[in-house]
Amino acid sequence: MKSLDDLKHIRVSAHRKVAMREHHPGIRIHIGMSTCSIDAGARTVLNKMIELIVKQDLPNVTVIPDGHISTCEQEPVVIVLDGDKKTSYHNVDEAAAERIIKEHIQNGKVVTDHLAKKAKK
Amino acid sequence: MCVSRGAKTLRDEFEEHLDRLGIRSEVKLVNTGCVGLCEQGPFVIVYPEGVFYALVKNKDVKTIVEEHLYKGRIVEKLVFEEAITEDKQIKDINETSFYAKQKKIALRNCGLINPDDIEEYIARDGYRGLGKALLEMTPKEVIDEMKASGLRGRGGGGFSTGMKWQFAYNNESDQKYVICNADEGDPGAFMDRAILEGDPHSVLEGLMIAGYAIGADKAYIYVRIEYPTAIVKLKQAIVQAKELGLLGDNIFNSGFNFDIELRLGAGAFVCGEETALIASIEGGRGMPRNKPPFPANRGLWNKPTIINNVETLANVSAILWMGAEEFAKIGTEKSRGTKVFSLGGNIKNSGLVEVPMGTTMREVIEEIGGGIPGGRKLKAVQTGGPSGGAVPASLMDMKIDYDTLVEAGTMMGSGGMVVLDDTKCVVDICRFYLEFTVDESCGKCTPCREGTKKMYELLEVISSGHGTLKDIDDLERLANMVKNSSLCGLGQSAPNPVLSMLEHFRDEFEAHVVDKTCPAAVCKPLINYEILDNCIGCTKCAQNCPVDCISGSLKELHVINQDDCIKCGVCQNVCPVDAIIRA
Amino acid sequence: MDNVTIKINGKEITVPADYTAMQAAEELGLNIPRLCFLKDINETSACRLCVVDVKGMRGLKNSCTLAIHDGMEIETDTQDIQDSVVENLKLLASNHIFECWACDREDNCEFLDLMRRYNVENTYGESFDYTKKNRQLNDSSPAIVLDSGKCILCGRCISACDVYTGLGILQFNQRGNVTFVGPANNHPMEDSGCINCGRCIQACPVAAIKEQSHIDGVLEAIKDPFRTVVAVVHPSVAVTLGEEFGMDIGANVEGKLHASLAKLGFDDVMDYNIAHELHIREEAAELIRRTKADDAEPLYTSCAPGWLDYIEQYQGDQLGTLSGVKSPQQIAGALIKHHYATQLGYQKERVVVVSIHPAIDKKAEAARDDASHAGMADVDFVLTTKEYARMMKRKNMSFLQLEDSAPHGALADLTGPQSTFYGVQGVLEQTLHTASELLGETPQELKYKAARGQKTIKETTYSLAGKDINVAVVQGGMTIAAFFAHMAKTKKAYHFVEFIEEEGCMIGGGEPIRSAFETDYHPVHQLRLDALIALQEGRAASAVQLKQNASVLYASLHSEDDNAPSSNMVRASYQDRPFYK
Repeated sequence: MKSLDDLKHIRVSAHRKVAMREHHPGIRIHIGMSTCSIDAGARTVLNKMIELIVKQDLPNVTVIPDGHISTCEQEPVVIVLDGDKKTSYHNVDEAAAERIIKEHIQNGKVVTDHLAKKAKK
Repeated sequence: MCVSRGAKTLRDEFEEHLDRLGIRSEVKLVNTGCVGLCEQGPFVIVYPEGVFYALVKNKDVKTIVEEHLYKGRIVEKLVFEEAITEDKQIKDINETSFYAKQKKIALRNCGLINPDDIEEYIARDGYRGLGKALLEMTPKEVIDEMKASGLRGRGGGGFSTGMKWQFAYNNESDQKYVICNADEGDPGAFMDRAILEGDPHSVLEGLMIAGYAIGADKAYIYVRIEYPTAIVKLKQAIVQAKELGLLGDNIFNSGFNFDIELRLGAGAFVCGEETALIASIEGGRGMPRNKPPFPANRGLWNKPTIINNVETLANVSAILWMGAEEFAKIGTEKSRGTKVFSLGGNIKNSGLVEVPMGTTMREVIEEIGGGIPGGRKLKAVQTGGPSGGAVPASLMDMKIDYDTLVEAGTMMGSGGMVVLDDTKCVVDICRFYLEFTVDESCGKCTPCREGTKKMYELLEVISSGHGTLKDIDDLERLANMVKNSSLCGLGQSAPNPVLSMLEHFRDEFEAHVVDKTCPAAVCKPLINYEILDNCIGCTKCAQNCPVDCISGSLKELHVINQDDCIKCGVCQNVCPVDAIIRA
Repeated sequence: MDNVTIKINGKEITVPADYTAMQAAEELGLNIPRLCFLKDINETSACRLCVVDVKGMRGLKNSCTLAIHDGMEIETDTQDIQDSVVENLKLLASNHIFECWACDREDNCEFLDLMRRYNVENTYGESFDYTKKNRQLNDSSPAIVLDSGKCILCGRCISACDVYTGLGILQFNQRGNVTFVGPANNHPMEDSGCINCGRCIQACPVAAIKEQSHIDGVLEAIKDPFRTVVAVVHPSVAVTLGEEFGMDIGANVEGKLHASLAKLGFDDVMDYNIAHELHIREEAAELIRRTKADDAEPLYTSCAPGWLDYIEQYQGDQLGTLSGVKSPQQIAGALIKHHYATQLGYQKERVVVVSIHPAIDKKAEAARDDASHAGMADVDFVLTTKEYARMMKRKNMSFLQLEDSAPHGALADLTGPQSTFYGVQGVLEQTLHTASELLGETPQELKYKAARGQKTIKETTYSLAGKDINVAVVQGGMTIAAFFAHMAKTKKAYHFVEFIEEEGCMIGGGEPIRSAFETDYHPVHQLRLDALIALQEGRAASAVQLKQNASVLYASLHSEDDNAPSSNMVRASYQDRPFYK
């Protein structure tokens, strides 16, 4: 250990290991992971999202596998919670997941084509 | 990892079920240290939601994996009951009342990071305080920072850590030492063990900062051999720190060298006393010597030495990073920061709690601890273990800090907090603590070696009912003498439980010798079991009595022959109609 | 040294700054109670009897090690202090076995003295509500007895053992109120590695450590009409015995001593010095033999058997270096039984030899397997100075009223007259000079200097039989190990080495014991030594006669060659004797 930069390097690269366990306010992404959701492809959506978050090194994003969120035909369901702003997406697939991360999470632009019918504020 | 409650096999169980469902790669199993709430262990916490499963058994693992991890459905019946809100919502672990009132500094990483992985500690800003000290501050500035933080020793006396360092800093010497006192010996106290096991690096970092401040390049951690897990974690942490160059020569290119060595103590309570601890490290018999000279002048091998306790050092590393100003905002004017208490006795949520200084006793006992179980009434809270005294129920709104406790006739000690309900007899409690000090006295000085034993024997006389009021006076006089003239802190504080119990509950002592009764019905020689009229004559008591002292025919009132009764209480336990009472 | 002014009980006093509070108080004429404090040896602050109240300090402080500073205000006599001292004495008394009439220290027990001073009631000890600690007797050693029933756990013996020998034989065992003093794990003393120096006995304030008593055996022998009891008295007894009868330190009671021996019924008295002189003569012969031999083997000598104990137990590889000559005490015994008995017409089997000696290791020496000749022990009993005094008291003797007398009996005439001795110059020097004289060379003065880096090892070279030999004097039990380490390090060959006890026999385990307070203010050892030197100087003329007597004796023991090894009556053997570890 020769400098503070060395330390920072380790800290940054190790941060992901513990970030999830820390209690912080950032964006929370809930993914419905009930039996029917998994059947509808929720697991691939979940994996894709985590993969992207890790790849882009997004600090304040938490992915939370959730239970049954909506009706079965709307699965897979993804809900993005940003403070008190709640956005629900239905019938999310891998491509949509990528767009949600890239457009919504990173750039704050809601991905309108997968919005739930009754998206409320 | 509540190993003592069976956490070890849980991990294997998890591995098996995760593999079976093919989601092993999606779930990361992390061994952590103590999360504090002993009563409910072992735990499994599922992040990121922070769902807190308590009292997890091996068979529950399958359910948690299948339901929660695979399907995302929280297994409600296994969740810590206080984490469930009235509307059946599951709360995050940090929002339960056990944790909500707490403020974690010393325990900041315990239960959160994997203590086996130095990177996780670094990720939580670990070793940044050290870097800041070594590269941006002079030793003098580090000491000033400690003084500004107002940190006081967490091991017992509450001496200012900054001042202690200042003394050692002022003493010029070719060699100085830093010692971490990890010889936690109070019965029921285990905050140091929790830190050593859950966050060993915070202690190492604290040691290094202390070493830099006073000009020492060598540290010893004196840890009791009864803490095998802590020893393993510490050894591993030292190896990892050395691998990363955080220990060794020229740390951070600052020219500062530091080495840490473990010394294992055989677990004598007196070795927690500074000078006895030093004698033990030097290879001698763990006996204290007279102070002054204080170790900061002449300590280990007669070199200036500072000895800080584990919790203090865990605070040191936190202060250096968060800043003295930030730290000093927490707590009361004369007692800054937080204190870890180990909550035990007659309380619902026993375990480790870390609260800001100045939190009231009531908040700790009732809100965090969940109150007294079984609808009993609070009698007193014994703080400071066998060296402290009792805080009676009437003082529950007292704000806890070093000075208020001393005013109340007790002390902070290392932070043991034993809750006593109204089924506890004060004479019996005193006997319990004295038995401990009699056993742990090193035998060097007369008052402690012989005096504590005589106090114990006086208490036996009182609890036997043969005592007189003079015995109580004798006890008080002897207790004051032992306190006044003993050589070291152990002897000087050994009479504290007796003295404070006498202060608050003298009438209860007097009841033992005047009325020959034990108000809490604990002292065996003074209690009798009696069978009331509502006895249905089932003969169960007579059948179970080990000494056959209960007579009576079927369906007739039974009678206990008091001369033969050994007061074991079996009859009371087996009576189906609660007709047997203890009085 | 700077002075500081402090206030004790309201009185100002100016004392050197390195004084302790206790010293300052004693300067004011106060006698602060103490039990554990033994200056420079045991300063552990353990007994808590010397407590004082210091203004501004919490609780009571022990004054024995309390550093003072300008303006300090100390109280030594408050009610709190009184109560505390009395209570602590009571606590100590609770486990003590008070059978003072049957105690070795009935006259000078430091604990009893304090119990009397404070008029302490033994409430704990006499009530059945309190338990008493079990009594342990460790009496397997031929020289030392440990009695936990008397022990007050002050730790003075432990420190003395460590300071004087460095061997740490005595330790605290267990802890708390079941602490016992003894070898580790309460191992028997006999094979504890102890070298019987007796420092612990001198350090003990009570009678928890004492010598194995031989009084009963001696009295029985004297009573037996069929036995001839012969006393051999070490010269130092003459100047220390008086202390047991209240006389000043160093009082010369030689005349009364001889009167008492006659009165007690000893049949004969042998002069110790002739045995000592013969020891020197034998040693000189051995030195010459070894020096002349080509593979010059070093010769290590000592009059103190503790040295043999040390080599046998700790330096088994050095057995060959030990002088094969018995110590003066054993030579005396052997001579009485096998040489003089015939001359005097005694039946040697019926002769009982009693040595009166201040060192307790002599008891152990007399019990050695090799301390015998022709199947007969050289010395049957060894009485210490204290024991001899006790024996006299038991025989209703008014020692102070005795008329001075010369040694009585036929043997005294045969071995006398009373002559000079004592190692003021040391055995080493005497032996070297005797050896020179035997070889017809001129004895040279020895000019010692300290060995490199070792204050307690004195060395020089001496020319003998045409060779320069390296000689050294090793002083004090602590130095033995240091000496061997020194030899190993410097690889220097020493040809003749003497080991002497730090302060000689004059404060040996069997001498009268002075309290810690007295030793603080009286140079006990020096006063006794001065008295002995004065005793010797009075009769310097007889030194020559002693030498002649020894030569005649030597000649009668050796038929032919003057320098051949003597008859095995005066020779000892050694073996490796491992102690438990």
